[in-house]
Amino acid sequence: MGQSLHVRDLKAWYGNHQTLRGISMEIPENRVTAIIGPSGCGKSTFIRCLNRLHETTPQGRVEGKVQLGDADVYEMDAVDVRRVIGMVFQKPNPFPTLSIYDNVAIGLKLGGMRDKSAQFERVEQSLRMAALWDEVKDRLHRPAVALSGGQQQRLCIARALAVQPNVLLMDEPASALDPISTARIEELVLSLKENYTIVIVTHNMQQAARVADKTAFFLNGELIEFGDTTSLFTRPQDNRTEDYITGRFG
Amino acid sequence: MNQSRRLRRKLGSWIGFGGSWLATALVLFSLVDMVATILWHGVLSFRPAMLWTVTSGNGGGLENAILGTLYLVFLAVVISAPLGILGGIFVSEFAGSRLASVIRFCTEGLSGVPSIVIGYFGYLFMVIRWGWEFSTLAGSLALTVIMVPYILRSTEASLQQVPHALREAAWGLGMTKSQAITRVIWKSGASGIITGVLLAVAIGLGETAPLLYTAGWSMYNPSLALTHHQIGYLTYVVWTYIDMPYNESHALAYSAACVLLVVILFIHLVLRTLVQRRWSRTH
Ligand SMILES: Nc1ncnc2c1ncn2[C@@H]1O[C@H](COP(=O)(O)OP(=O)(O)OP(=O)(O)O)[C@@H](O)[C@H]1O
Ligand SMILES: [Mg+2]
Repeated sequence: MGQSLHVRDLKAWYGNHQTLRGISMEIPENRVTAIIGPSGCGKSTFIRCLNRLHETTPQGRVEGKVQLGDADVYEMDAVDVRRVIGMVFQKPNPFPTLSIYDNVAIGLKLGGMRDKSAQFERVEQSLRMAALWDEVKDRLHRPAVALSGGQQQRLCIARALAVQPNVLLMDEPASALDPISTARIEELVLSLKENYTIVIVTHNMQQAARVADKTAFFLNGELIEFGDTTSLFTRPQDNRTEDYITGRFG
Repeated sequence: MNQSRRLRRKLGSWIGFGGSWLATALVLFSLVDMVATILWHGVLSFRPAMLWTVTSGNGGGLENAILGTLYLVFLAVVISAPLGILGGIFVSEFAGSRLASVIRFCTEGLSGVPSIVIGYFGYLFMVIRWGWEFSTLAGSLALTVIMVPYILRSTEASLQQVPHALREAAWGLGMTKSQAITRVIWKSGASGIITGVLLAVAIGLGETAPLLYTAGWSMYNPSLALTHHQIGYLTYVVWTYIDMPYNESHALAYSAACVLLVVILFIHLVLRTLVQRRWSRTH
């Protein structure tokens, strides 16, 4: 089941460079929340703080509070956090030395799923959800690097889905995909929200409008506006939001 | 105007080309000369029977030295590979940047120490103080000290070349740092690590100075005893027998050098194909 995320006064730095300037927002469970904003405004940094990946970057530092349901993410073990908050990265990053199958299965093996047929079932299911199964079912044991960029990204989505996290963070998952795969990913996102909480970063405002229940607009490391997607796009409260969604800057 | 500039540019590039060709030729020439001399004398003086007879008097065979070298280097690899690889993993993945640079500084210092000094320290401590006498263990440990820094540094370097995105992928999936290393990162760095170990083996095979002080010399085939028994090795034959006033001694020395050279060239051949394979896989 999805869990909600409460973010309170979240600040993040790279060395001395502050990229998040105190973000507070309530991300509802079993909903899709989109993050939009111009390049470099801190969208990736923000979602990387949610699964505690930001602190692993050299010089990366975080302050503030993130709560997953009732649990304080920054008091949990970071490894446990990342098992329940999955992530799809902006650039596809499959494990190059593993086969297509093992890329998806590795998380299951780590989680202790020994039964081979259960494993296979879950791998197939995840690859189907990521709209990749038909393209790879005949070559599951070939290396993952032999896939195209878009296929690699869908493989990464399948890898994240296989371990059935509660929250799924997606950093521009469709930016390397053709329109057909993009449409299938959007369908996937919509179908997943029954069971997952999804946070999706996107540059594509039509995409945000199509898939997201709520949308947040970031600018220069600040949360400018956060609300229901339809009202944010039709009746923005802040001039800067309006300028951005009407294409006047960014 | 335009034409003279073109001429000047051409001339300049010719001089540059000529200079670098000359420098390359000089290096190549001395290398080829050395390898050719050793191979020429070695092949002429080598008799297959040397492989299964031991050294005796001023000549004889190389069996004891070949087995001794293999035994010494084998022990040294068994000790230095785990140490160097684990150390390299530690420096690359776990040590903070402060500790990492301290360790890096120490290993660099260690690899800068002349090998004869390492041999002498080995002599003072292992041979004398700890009472092992000239022995296999003292010799392999001296080689270990020389080999560990190479393995450590090449392990660290090849792990550093694994893209950060790959670590993030592993961590993002809920792997611990050690799981990420053993299941994902290690494999991407493996050929670099193997390269480092092979390079260290090649270096260990060719070392003389540290062994002179620690392993001693024996005309008998090595025993399994680790201490209190001297052991023979190929570089000793090269080092000592070339200075003797007998033809059969020279023949033995050149044959030993030739055997070493062939083995080391072979290792470098393997290294090259490994490196090339890695290159073609990543590009
Ligand atoms: N590894 C890093 N080291 C230093 N600064 C960084 C690093 N990664 C990002 N930054 C800086 O942090 C700021 C926010 O970056 P972030 O990647 O979060 O932006 P973004 O909104 O995801 O942009 P994009 O839409 O281009 O992906 C930028 O100013 C960027 O220069
Ligand atoms: Mg980004």
